[in-house]
Amino acid sequence: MVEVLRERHRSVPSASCGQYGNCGINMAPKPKVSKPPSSKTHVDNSVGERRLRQIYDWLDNGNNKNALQEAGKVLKKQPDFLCVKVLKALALLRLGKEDECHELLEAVRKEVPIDDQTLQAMQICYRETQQPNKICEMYDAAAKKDPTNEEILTNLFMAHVRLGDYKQQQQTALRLYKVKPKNPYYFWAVMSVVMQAYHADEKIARMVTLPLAERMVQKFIDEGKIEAEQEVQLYLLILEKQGKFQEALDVVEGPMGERLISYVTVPQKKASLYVKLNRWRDSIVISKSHLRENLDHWLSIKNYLTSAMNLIEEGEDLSSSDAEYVLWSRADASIPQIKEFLKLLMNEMKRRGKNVRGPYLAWLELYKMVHEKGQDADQVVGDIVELFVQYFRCFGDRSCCPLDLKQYLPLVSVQCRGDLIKGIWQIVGLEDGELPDTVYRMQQHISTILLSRHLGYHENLTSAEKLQLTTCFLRYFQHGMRFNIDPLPTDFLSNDPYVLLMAHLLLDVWMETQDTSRLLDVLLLLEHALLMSPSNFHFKLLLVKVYHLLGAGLAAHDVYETLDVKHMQLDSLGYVHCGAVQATGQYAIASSLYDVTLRFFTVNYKDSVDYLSFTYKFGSFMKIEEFVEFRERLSNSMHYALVTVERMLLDILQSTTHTQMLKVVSQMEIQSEKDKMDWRRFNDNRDMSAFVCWDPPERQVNPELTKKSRDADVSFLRLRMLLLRGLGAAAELCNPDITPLSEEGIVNSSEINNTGEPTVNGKSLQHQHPLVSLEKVTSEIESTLKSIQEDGIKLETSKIIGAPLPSRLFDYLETNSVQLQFELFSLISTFVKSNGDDKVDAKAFEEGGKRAVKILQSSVHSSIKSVLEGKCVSLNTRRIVFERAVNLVEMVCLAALVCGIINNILEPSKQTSSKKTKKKQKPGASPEVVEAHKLFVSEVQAIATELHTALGNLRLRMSVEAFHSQMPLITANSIKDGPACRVPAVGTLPTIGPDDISSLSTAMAQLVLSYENRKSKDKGYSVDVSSKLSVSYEDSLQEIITILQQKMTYLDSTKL
Amino acid sequence: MTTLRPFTCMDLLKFNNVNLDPLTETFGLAFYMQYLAHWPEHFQVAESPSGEIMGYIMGKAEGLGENWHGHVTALTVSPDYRRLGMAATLMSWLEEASEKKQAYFVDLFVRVSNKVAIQMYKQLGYIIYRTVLEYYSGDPDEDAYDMRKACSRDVNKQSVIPLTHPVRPEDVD
Repeated sequence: MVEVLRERHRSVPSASCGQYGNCGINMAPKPKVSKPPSSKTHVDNSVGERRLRQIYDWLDNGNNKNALQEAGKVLKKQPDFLCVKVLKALALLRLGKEDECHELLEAVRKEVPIDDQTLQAMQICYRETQQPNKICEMYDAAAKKDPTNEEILTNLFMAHVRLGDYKQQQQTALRLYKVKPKNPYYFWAVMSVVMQAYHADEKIARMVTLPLAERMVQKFIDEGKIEAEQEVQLYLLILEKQGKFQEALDVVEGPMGERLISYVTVPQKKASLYVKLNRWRDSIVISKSHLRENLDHWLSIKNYLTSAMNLIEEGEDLSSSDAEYVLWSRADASIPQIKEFLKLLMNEMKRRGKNVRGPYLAWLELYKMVHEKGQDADQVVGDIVELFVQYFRCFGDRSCCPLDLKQYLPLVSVQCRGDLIKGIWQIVGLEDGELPDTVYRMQQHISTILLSRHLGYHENLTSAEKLQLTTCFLRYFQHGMRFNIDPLPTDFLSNDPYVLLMAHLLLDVWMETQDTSRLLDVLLLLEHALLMSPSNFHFKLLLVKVYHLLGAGLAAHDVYETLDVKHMQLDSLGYVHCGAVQATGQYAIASSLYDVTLRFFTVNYKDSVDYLSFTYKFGSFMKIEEFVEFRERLSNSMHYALVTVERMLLDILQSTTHTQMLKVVSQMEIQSEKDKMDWRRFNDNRDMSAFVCWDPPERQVNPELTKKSRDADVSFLRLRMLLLRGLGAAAELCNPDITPLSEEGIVNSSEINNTGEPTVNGKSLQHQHPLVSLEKVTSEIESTLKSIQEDGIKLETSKIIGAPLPSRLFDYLETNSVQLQFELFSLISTFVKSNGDDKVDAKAFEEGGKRAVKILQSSVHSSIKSVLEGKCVSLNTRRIVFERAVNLVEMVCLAALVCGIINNILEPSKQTSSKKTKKKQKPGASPEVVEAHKLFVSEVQAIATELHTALGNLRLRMSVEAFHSQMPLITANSIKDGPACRVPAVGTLPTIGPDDISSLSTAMAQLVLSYENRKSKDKGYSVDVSSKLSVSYEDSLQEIITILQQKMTYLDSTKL
Repeated sequence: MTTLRPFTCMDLLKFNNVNLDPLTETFGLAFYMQYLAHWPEHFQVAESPSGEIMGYIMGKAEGLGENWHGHVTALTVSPDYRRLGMAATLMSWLEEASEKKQAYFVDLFVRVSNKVAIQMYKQLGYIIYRTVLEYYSGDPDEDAYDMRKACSRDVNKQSVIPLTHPVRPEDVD
């Protein structure tokens, strides 16, 4: 609340905007103290001013009662003090008296205030009630009354910015310019035109809108009125959008270009325009001059190479120009010339005594370009292995090395891969099994291993060999500890990459053997490594994933919290945890995660619109499109939509009584009829690059996987939204004020008015009758399910470390939950229609109930047998066991809710005889219907009891589980050295005996022991993996069973 | 590589490999947008040849009269791209941008405990101008060094004469 009042100052840093605020005057919005605006209004007495300040203070401190009182007192003496009236309205609003607030506000609005103080206060009210259009109307009215008021017009302009009404923006800006002919106002209008183009049809944008914007600027240029850098920037933007690169270049090179002072990138701009204009010679020359200044300027290297390659393509005559240029300024037009220049770069670098990556990578880049042209790059450019080795020699010990080289690895033919590894291995210079003596050597060793893994050298190893390699890396890791002297807890350790390598190898083995001990090894390894290197977020991310693979939502959450995911990251990283944590039955954690996430989205959507208006104020025209696009990206975030729906569903499903459920639903805004979703518009904001992984390309996250997993989530989202809408409509049917559909007249689907809203007898309905909504949803559920089943999204991601966990869609479909929903909603419809009608419908109701029960029953039965009992033995399927339990319990919840709803509709008719006050006499239900309902409830109860017993058994079995018996790795016995260490592709692996496997275990044990004492140092962060798992499982089951028990009580209460 | 480009909103969605680092603060969206809206040229990102974010710098220009200066709000380099001089490159961008804006100096705040960073800034020519008491809230609060480097406009290097007494955060403009 405090924030909002402060916005008063933020939103209007300076109403009249003579300059863009970048010229030495600090226009930074400083939301520090909230002071009422200085007295320039009709309140000229200082007493009034003082009391006004007092009210602002109360409001700022959240003391709305005092603010209200104070305002009341002031108004007694000065009943026409409009600003105080508005502040009173604001206090009322914040005290929850919305109606009184509106009334008061409306009264003020009618007087059309024009003083800034009142208008600002009104703006706050309208914002808090989310009526941005009222802000526009208010300033519009004020501007009519006082048409030359610059401040009011500025605010009107900003109000249109908030609504994204570009046409109105343009008109208002031009009005402003007429009142005060200042450049910024004129360019606000120009920018508003550009934004019209952004949303317009491309053809219209090119033919009409953008040329208009260009002419507007041209007019100013002709009149010599251009003043600021921002204006030139906007002009360039307009020209480039139209593909007028030559004109843009003329601007940059001409007198106007001199205005681009803060535009440090002017030379870069020039270079990029040269490229766009295919002016290769100029591009080469300018890139070379940049490189002369900065040998590592990658963009210039790319520009240079691209341009030179194009020049060759054009068959430039080489001999003629050669003599004119010295090497630094020649427009190279042949491979030998390019090579000559790259050599020059290398020599120059050596001369300057500073090694940078650019010139080395330039060779690889050239190789790539030549290769892509289908030429023999080895012949033309040089030996690829030698190019790699050349880079590796200088940067092999940096962690950027494998990242830089990765994109060039596909250039190495399969036959040459061995040579490549051999080549760089020679630089590392370690004998087989020799441990590195310096940190640099160790890091080179790490780079070599990462590259060899990426080349696929670990793929063909047997599981036993992989385990041996793991043991080997463990030795390197332990050996490497000596290179971390006094490590900072905020830095990664230099030997950390070995840990990830080991973890990935162990995951490989688990995938091949399905031996869960290996997953437990991974956990153990990472948990310990984290103690030594507490800031390594790669460990944490992988831990979250592996805990989730094991269905341990609570344990995953403990680690997730240490990642301190917040703000934007809630959207980009939330996917690693949110859905999965709910699928393990950790409802409380899921709820709080959802809440935090939703707060981020709502707060930021409001905030970011303010910054959109700032971009105009500061003339940051280049950013406006970007901001608009970004706001759309956030508001259309798939994660946002998923979280919203799941949060609401959780609330509904967790309500303990029918009355509570109705209350919960009534507080939600479930807009069934307006929900015309375009499912394609959902943005996938997940950052899947967060997981580091050196697996070969075919085991990396790829666009197809990303798309498919998004599609699966969107399908899930669609079904969940329908469920939510269905529940909303069904709950609304319980409203006693609902008139039976027949009395109102049946909504005719052909009777749709021109706004697309359904009508009754020609009259527009504000709300659709809930029964109509419910039937609509029911049929949509059926068709959506059908189309999803037809799509049959299949996704195999288990071998890809960075891939998200399987979508919740799959188990959701597997349990037939959607079919159950269909039957349950149909049942309600049948019931509502038959309530009081003849026996035929009673029969239909009974049959509907039977169908629903049958689906629920068979799903529960088969799941108990095949999943809850059948799959609970192995930890591999633990995730599925929990997800299934959660889905089954949800199905029972849904059935219980529907029982409650039907009961509720039955109830008033049962009581009508006793309650004389009842206005509308509903026809009573037939005894057959009552009987059928009773039968339905008792059958649902029976299933619930069965499920409850099964979950109880599951809990019992899990409580006596002892992971250590499956996990010989952590029992520390004798400790012996691991086998000789050889890197695949370099040396051959020695033969493996059974001892080798157990020696891995013992080496792990050593790891555990050697850092056991650190455990106590680390504020209670436990590495006891097995107890973490047990606690997590127990906790999840506890939550799941509690929900089920609540619903059993709920069911009891729905018995007639 | 030292090619910098303007930071964009979309980078906020994929800067996790930099921002999950414990010393890199992830701010609320509004904070980033304020900088992008007001000082877009002071907010630059260094991108690797393979398109990854190697690091970024976020800064502004503010102050009246001889206090008109460039300020470094955040500077961070991904753990994968350290020991390559990235921080120096990013800093020199902001210094150059501040020169173009005719600033008198560039300043920044750093935790007194962050020895590595302080050392690096010293190497880049920054001096400890003053100590700001309990600038960083936490348990316990931590002091900050206000470090400065003069720009060419400050011919007599007036802006980098260290203060002898520490100041309170509220006294810092």
